[in-house]
Formats: sequence, C-alpha cells, structure tokens
Amino acid sequence: MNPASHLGTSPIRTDAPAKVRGTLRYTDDLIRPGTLQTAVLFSPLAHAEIQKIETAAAAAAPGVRGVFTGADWPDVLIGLYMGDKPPLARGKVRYHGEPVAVVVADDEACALNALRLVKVEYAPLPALGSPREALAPGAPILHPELATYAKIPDILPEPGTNVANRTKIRKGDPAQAFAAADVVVESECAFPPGNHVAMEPRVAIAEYGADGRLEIDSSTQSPFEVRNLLARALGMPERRIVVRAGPIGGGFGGKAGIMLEPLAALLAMRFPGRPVRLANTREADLLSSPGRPGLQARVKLAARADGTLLGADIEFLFDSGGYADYAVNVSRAAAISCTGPYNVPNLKTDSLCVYTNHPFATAFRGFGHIELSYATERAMDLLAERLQMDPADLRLKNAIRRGDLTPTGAPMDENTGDLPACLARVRKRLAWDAQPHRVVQPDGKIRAKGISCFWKAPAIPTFTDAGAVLYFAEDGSATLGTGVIEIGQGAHEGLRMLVAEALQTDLDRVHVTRAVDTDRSPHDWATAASRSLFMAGRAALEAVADAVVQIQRTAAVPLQCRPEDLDVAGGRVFVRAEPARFLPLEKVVLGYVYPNGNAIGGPVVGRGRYITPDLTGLDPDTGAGKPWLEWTLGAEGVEVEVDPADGAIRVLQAACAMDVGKVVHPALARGQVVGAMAMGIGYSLCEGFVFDARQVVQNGSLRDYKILRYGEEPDYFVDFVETPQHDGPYGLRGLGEQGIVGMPGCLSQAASLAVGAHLAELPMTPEVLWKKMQESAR
Amino acid sequence: MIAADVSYLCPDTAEEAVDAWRRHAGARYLAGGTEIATAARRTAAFDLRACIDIKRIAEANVHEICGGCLRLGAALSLSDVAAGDAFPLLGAVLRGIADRTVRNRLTLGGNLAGLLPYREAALPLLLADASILTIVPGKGEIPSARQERPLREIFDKRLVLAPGELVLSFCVPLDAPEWPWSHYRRTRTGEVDYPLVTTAMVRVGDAIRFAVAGAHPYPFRSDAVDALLTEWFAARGTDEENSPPSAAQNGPDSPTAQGRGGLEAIIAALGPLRADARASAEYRVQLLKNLIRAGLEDLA
Repeated sequence: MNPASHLGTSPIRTDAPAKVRGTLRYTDDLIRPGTLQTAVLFSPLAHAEIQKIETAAAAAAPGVRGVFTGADWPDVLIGLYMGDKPPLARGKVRYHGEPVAVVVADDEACALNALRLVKVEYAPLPALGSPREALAPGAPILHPELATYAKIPDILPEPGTNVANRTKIRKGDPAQAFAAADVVVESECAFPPGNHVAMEPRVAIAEYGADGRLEIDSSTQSPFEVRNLLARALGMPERRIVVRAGPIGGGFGGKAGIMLEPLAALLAMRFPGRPVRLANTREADLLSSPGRPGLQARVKLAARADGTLLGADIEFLFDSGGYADYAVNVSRAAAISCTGPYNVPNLKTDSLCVYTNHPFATAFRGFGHIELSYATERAMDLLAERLQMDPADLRLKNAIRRGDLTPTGAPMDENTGDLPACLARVRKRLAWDAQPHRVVQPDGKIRAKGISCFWKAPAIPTFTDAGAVLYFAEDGSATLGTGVIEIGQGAHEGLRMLVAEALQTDLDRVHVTRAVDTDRSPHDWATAASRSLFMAGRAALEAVADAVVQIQRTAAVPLQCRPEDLDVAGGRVFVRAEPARFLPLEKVVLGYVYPNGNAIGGPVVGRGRYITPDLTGLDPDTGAGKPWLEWTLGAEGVEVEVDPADGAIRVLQAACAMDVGKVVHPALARGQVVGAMAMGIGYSLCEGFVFDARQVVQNGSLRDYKILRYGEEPDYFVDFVETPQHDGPYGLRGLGEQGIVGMPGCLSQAASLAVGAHLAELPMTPEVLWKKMQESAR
Repeated sequence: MIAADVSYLCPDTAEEAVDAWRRHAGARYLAGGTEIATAARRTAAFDLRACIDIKRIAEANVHEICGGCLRLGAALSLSDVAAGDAFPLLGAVLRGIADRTVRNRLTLGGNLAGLLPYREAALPLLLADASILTIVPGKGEIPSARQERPLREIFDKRLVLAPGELVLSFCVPLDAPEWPWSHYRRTRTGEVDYPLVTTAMVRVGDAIRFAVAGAHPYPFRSDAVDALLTEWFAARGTDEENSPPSAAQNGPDSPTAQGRGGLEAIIAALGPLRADARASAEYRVQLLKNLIRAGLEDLA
C-alpha cells in the first residue's frame, strides 16, 4: 500500500485555472492565416425533392472561391456503421436543417453574403413525424437505396422499409411466462428527439497538403474514429490523414461520431494548401448536426402475484431522424440492456432504429439506456400499482444479482455491483419508508417522491482498445500520453492520479498530455461510453509497469543488485530490503551517467495496451452473446412539488447512489453524477424538439429550446458503493454517463403520483401536468 | 457573424441622433442591441446599414424625480431601472425579463420598441398612465421636435412612432408607485423564458387596473376589462361566495361570480388568447384565471 496515496482525495484539476479564466484554447481558437471560410445553406423543409439549385450568382459574388452542392460529390456517402448520408443533400432533403449548399470564400462575410444568392427550389414531400408513422403501411420510404449502403455486420437494416436497424433479443419462453403469469401490465411511452446543447458548437478545420495528406483539427470525442471513417468515406488510406483534437467544450456523445469533418475535408481537397474552416452557429449545431433520438416504446411485463418478474415483451422504436449515424447502435445498446437492472428470465425484445423526417440522431449521454430505462421504469410503476406494492420493494425483489442472466444470456459475474445497497441508500435519503410518498402541503401544493433503478454497460466494439505511453523529463517527472480527449469530464485528472498511485509519487510529478494527435498519440477507440478511466487507466498502469522494469534494469547496474530487488516509490528507485541504497529517478529515467561520463540505459518509455477481452457480437436471431464489459448499477430518487393550479413542477431533491467499484476523485465523480442528474431533469421536464405538422422544428434556437439552468436545480445527494470491478484499475468502473439514466423514471413516478395519473410522455411541462389533472378530474 | 458593413454612429444629443437618422438611409437606433444582433445574424432579409447608438445621449439616461414625476430614460438598462426601485411594480416586472446578465444589456426603450411581442415593461407604464417623450426628425427646413404624450395614446399593441422618431424617456406620475400592486409571470418551464402570461395589476382607490403580456401577441390593457375587474373586486365584500378565491384552491368558478359577469366575463373580454409552440390558448386561460384571482387577493 502507498501511504501517500491520493486515491480518494480531490485535488484541484490542472486545467481548472485556464478554464475558469477563459484562456484554454479550444479548436475554434486556432486561427491560421489564409484560412478559407464557409457558409452553409440549410433546408427549411423536413422532406422535399430538390428540384433546382441556382448557384451562379453566388459563385460570382466578391471573395467567393466556390459554391458546392450535393452534385459535386455524387458518390460519397458518410456513416458510422452504415454509409447513408451524403455530405450535402442529394436529390432530396430528409430533415429540417439538412445542409444543401456551401459557399467557400476568403472571409466569412463574403461567404454569408454570397449564400443569400443561392436559390433552391423544393417540391415538398409528406414528412414522417414518428417511428410508428414511418412503419405504417404506405409510408414514404426515406432511403430506397438502403440495400446498397455499406455497413458493418452488426447492423441489420430492412430494405424497402424505414427500419435502419432491428435488434432481436429472445430468451427463455416468453409465451409460457405470460400464460403462467398472475399479472400482466402493458405500458407505452414516448418522447421527441432533442439536442445535447454542448457549450461549444462543433467545428472542423481541414487542410489538404501538397504532400497529399489531409490534416483535420476537430472538436471531436473520437479522433481515431474520425480518421478511420474519413478514410472509408473518401477512399483514402489512414496514413494520409491526421486528426487533431484538443480539449472540447462538452460533447455528451454529440461529438463522438463523424460530423463536420467529411465536408470540411472534401472542400479542403478542392483548395490544396489552404485551411478550410467549417464551424456551426448555435442554430446549426441544434438543427443540422445530429442530436439525440426520440422514442416510442411498448413494454409488457408478466409477473407473479408476489411481484416476481416472469417475462417481458418489449418494443423500442427509436426515432433516428433522416440518417442512421450512431442511432443504429443506440437502439442496439438499448436491446442489450432492455430489461433494466432486473432479472427477467423470459424475454422477447425488438429494438428498432427507424428513419423519420426529424433531425438525425447520434450518441447521447446514456446511449440507449436513458431511453430503455424510461420505458421499463414506467412499466415497473404500472406493475407496482397493479400489485399495490411499494415501487421500491418491487425493484428490490427483482434486482439483478450475481449469477442472473442478462438479456443476451451471459451471466452477471463476480464484479456485479450491489444494487440493493444503492437502493437502500436512496430510500434512506428520501425517508422513503418513514414518510408518505405523497403529501398535500398547507398551500395546496403536492409533494411526491419517486424512485428508480438503472444500469448501464458501455456499448462498444468487441475489440475496444486503449494505448498509453509514459515518458520522462530531466526532473524525473512522468508524462502520460493517451488518446483520451478532455471533454470536461476530468479523465485526464483521473489518469494522472492512477499513474501517480502506481509510481507511488507526488501528483505534481505526473503530467497528462492534453492534445490528441492521431500521428503522435497511441491509438484509442473513442472518448465515449464512460470507458476512458477504465481502459486508458488499464493501459496507463501497464505503461507504468513497463517503465518500472526499464528503470529497474538501468538502476540495477550502479546499485549493484538484481533488477527485481528494486522498488520505485517517492521519486526514488531503491533496494527493497535496504531502502538507503537508492537513486533519485532523475538520475535513471533518461539513462544513468557515471562520474566519469560513461552512460547506460537511455530514456525510459513505458508502453501500455488494453483491449476488451472475451466480448462477442449478438446472434442475429436471438441476441445471444456477451457484448458487455462491465455494468454500473445504481438507484435514483427525487422529491417534486407540483402546483395543482397550473401544473408547475419543481424538483426539491434528487438522490443517486451507484456502485462504481472505486472512487478515484470524489469531487470529480460527484460532479459527473450531479451534471448527469441535472441533464436528466432537463430531459424529463423541459427539453425536446417541438415540430409543426410538416415536421419543421419550432424551437431551433436557444431562445426557444430550454435546458435546465443553474438556479433551477434541486438539492443533490450523491453516494457511492464500492464493490470492486476486478479487471478495472484499482477496482473502478465507469460512472460518467450513468447519473442521467434513472432520472426520467423516478421523475415520472413522482410526477404521476402528484397529479394522480400515469404520465407516459416527456417532457413533463407544467401544461402537460395540468392537462393530465384536468383529464383525471373529469 | 453579422456579414454586413455597418456604419456606427454615436451621437451625444437627441438632435444629433435624429439628424443622423435623416442622413443615413435605413439607419436603426441601437440601444442594448440584443434583437438587432440576433436578427442581423440570423435573418438574411434584415437590413442593417447604420446603427445610431443612443446610449450616450444624456436625456435617454435620465433616472430621477423631477417636475412631479419619475423620469426614466429609454436607454437605461433594465438592471439599472430595477435597482433604482423608484417604481416597485416596474422593478418587479423588469426583474422577470431574461436573466441578470442579459438585463444588463436590455433597455427600457428597447423593450417597448423592439420586435418581440411581449414588451413586458409596457405593463406598469400603461397602468401608471405614464407619458412618453420622443423626438421626431425634422423634414426639409422644419427642425426636429420633441413630443410628450400619454403613452396609452401612442401605444396600440406596440408603440406607434413616426419614421425616425426616437423614444427618449418615460414619465411616471409620482402617485403611481404608491398604489398597491401585484405582478405575476408564468413561463412554459424555467424562469428564463418568454412569458406565457405576465400580469400586472394596481388598485387606485377602489378601481382596479390590469395589463397583461404574453396572452396576446402584444401587451394588453383595456378600460372595459378594468371596469369588469373593478366591479368583481367590489362585489367581493358583499358576497363571500363571490370573493376571488386564491389560486391554490383551484376550485371551479363560483356560479354567482359567473352570473354577475365575474371571471368568465373578464376572460371573454380579453378576446381570443394566443396559442403557439410554448402553450395552448386553453392553458393561458387557466393561468390568467389563477393570476387574476391571485392579483386581486394581493390588492384586497
């Protein structure tokens, strides 16, 4: 054990001063002389044929270098798992906000002024406003070429329909379970698509060099994915592409895929030697770049009279919008975790990703789990009501435990977190068992509580990797290089603590490289799925071990001992049995120099690697497989106050307890959880796109699209349970996204209890609550 | 970005401002600039060639009691007016608009003269029978001229101004801040949003005055509604059943109240309410009923 361990303490993160002072440089702060600027024309319609685009006047405008439309790249299709999206709309537009034309000019004003001269004639087509509409017989088929799209094998589109992916889970004998059940409930729920609203709008700056190399600076969570996907979309090998990413101003999944980079790259290739900047305005970021999916869900549960779940029949219809992007894997992730953290022996699930004419959807914090959790928690509430059972007791009774089989049939292993303990802590915090769950206050307002459970597994490729390199400076300090992006989450700070712990050294002797560069940084899948501290942490620990071996080898010679008899701690390498025989690290890490000038060793470079072991894909017919690495389990609860006069709702307190294996940095961990809970409150109570009958977005600016603000937040309570994850560094597992997952469920339960009616749609605005109360009063 | 080349003019006096307007075709007066910046950035059709910044004009920054009235410059920020607190109802209304950082930019004149339909700052000024001082640009040999008129005279859903006419200040009679008042504001969700309904009410002796924003695509005050409210308010003492119940009770409207006009008649007199992406007309009616009840209770 390290007596000077920093694990479990909360040092100030090293990037905090620059962030607080506003001096941290983000991607769009890179201003390079000679940069060409762009302006993009967006579709005002959700679904229309493009009949004509008039660009001649714009092309002739002052300062304009070129005007481009979809016809300029007739064969390029971009996608993550399935290439279905042209860089600019071709032939038709499929959502409000789709890029239709782009002007490249010497400066931004020229580009914008010329853009106003581009004239497009549209012939409107009927627009699909929900997955169910898109699946109805006779619905227009948004992607008639679906069969021809390149895709990975895990994605199963159904050509001739609007189904971009269908994931089937079949486990046990659900028909028998429903026949044998004492109680069956069926729940439906839905919410519209929305947006991440990251503080930094997306930007990509591309330059095509005279050497035929493409350089991209991007506000991306996934520089290596961007390189790989660009290579495929452009038919250019990875060796000719470099992607650089600095710190980004929030992503929440919205920067995990491929976004502005392909168009920026294609434009750059038309103007070799000049950087081309493609930057979103806030409105473009909301509408044109991908947001989060909407959902329509149906969950049917079969249970015994004592509340034991026997089976489930589940249908998730994800609203992917006009293109598939990450949504085809979001729907798959929801299938993998479809039951929520409950033991359901018999199961039939179909999780569909469906094209509609909404803004398209990508990864979003929780990645399918907030959606599935909302659907299953609503069904659990119906079941509890039917059984007249305490909703927390029903959850406890069915809580998933070690040895239970997950929906895909693989058993929960010895790393299974302690869900009952999490639930107990939230119950205690809310005084769940001591006080009634619904109380009418003297002023007429109603206070009500709700509780939910959640789980989340990272939805990742079976071969998700992380590399780490550790090198040293003259002062003996260590620098860790990884492919992990600083996205606000503080993973660099966590990695710094892990390395300091492993080297048993002071924190200020460890530094983590901030910028990621695909030419220089070790490969890393993506900064997503709450896996960075786990996987890059594992790689970092291996890099430390590798460096220690090199340090021992160098130091053993002058210390005249065997390498394995040496330990590294406190900035020294010393003989274990005789600590007074030591060398300071600064005399070893770049090589040892004898008094006479002779030198041995050379710079220590620690190498660390991690790749997910033992993961499989899913059987296409049954979903059987082991696609998950680890599960974070937890419980959440809220107390709300509803004013029956107008439905106004306020969250008084919100509690979360989750089993994270090991807390490395309590303040950052709490910050992640509180941020996720706040996001979950906004998701549940105020966010989401509003559409008109033609599926044109009505709230496409921050004047109208409202997210939670500071000052509107409840008292937060965050607690951690630490059941070790044996394959995680120091026993830790992921915690970045999970706090959002249970929020729609417990808020819906509390609000339903308050208004006396089952609520099944988000967002639960005051007007929605008031209307429900009016209906149930009738 | 704003792609146009814009001339920026910063006059010291009202006369210079209106003269600048005459000299620069298509010039706009610039106060806080929040609407201009958004419109110029996002709307291709928004014509922006010259801005005449009125924030340096002393007359538009006056904030004092003189000549028997409280005079408030049009270029004062909402934060400054609210902090002055000389007219508590106005301060309360202004503190409901946007958030503190934005209120530091928004101006009193801009809130009334802007394009957004809410113009909540108009409510207290309409209730107070405030007057408005403007300056009209000269024409040919005719010099520019100031005009002071009752606000209600030139406020028909919005300020009705002559081309180039610049608002300089508002004058609030000194008795207005003394009247009992009430203000409520309801939004779709969080506090920082445009109002679904903002109500402002004062009691002048036994007479109730009422103004509302958000319920219509413009701020609303009418003598007919004031008369109905006054009547309903007066009936409160004589008939317990008929007294305006508190919002929290959420009971059905009492039949006697309806029989004598009461709340339903008041709502009817407001005409059809706005329905938009934020809320239905039906919900706005409910909010209005709650807030009128609550307001009258405050004034009792």
